[in-house]
Amino acid sequence: MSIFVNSGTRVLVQGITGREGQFHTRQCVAYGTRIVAGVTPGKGGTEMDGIPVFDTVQAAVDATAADCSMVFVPPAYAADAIMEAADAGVNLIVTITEGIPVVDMARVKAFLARKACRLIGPNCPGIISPGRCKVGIMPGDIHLPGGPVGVISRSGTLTYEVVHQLTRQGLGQSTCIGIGGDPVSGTSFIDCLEAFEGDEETRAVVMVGEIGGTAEEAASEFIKTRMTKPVVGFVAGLTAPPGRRMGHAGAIISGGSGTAQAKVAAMKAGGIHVCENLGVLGEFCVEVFKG
Amino acid sequence: MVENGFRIILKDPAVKGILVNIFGGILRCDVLATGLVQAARKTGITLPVVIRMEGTNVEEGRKILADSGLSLITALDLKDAAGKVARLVS
Repeated sequence: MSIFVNSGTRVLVQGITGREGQFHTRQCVAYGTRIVAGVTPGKGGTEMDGIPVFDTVQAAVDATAADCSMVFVPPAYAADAIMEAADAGVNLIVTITEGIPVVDMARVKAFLARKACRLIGPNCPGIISPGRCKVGIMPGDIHLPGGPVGVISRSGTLTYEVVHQLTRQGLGQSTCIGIGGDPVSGTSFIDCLEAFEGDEETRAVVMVGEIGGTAEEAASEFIKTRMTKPVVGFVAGLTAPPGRRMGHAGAIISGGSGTAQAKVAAMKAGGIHVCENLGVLGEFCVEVFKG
Repeated sequence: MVENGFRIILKDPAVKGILVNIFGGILRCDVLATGLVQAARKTGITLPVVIRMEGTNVEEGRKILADSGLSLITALDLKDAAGKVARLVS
């Protein structure tokens, strides 16, 4: 099994007619994802590569029974697009868009608290269950289907790096999730860990954190008390200077908190196998997981 | 974008080489490679540049680098790239 998506997931794309929306929709279709609809206000009734385009998410859901949305809508309109998808009853909303104002995301979080849906992202690569379903911008061909490893990361590039190394070591992946690099986001490390703990196909987890916030510390506490499966951890930003934002909006050491050193220490205290050299993470996982 | 990055890095006289490590997702490797070639030409860089590139459109990207005629050094993976640039600057 996989978590959050599977081969039956029916995906609609908000912003399907934009440059990135078009390109990555085609990549997902080529990977085998069931893309059933697109949404671009004002372009309802048209098609993109034979995929019907609707003016609203509700119309797309009514016509195609889509249960997942992939959002490429530009930052100024993205919050509204997420809430529209939630309102239309979509179960899973994967938001790729980078640069959504934090105050908009705070509104979205409050809105989603009253809904049953799950948000992944924003500012994330998306989610893939190798061989079954790709909802995101990750390169599909670096993945190896069938498990046993689940991957969770705040960074897109580092997710690909980890997956590529796992694949080269012959370690397949059950599901890989980029939870995004923004300070306010949907699905957390803990949500994913809990799902991986309950997923039969997943026998081990790789968790990639970075500087800023306290998500890694909270996840480490969860792992210590609730996880039975082995977890390998990596934290990006060991050399990051305090006060400087490192690529992601949420990746900043502020007032001495959020350092990589503190996160590594928390991970170790939580029983996570911490890999300190990204170049050998694949080999490190083989060593840890064979036990 | 790549050109600006090179110019900022090259302002530091202590820099003896540049390592570019990109695993392309939303950033396509062909776009990156075109930027790298332009940046190398426009800045006339003489320091060693080691490039490790994987991900979306990587084949197109590798072809652009190979056809550029520039002496950019490519690497197989992150470990290889770090090793190569470390050897070149030491």
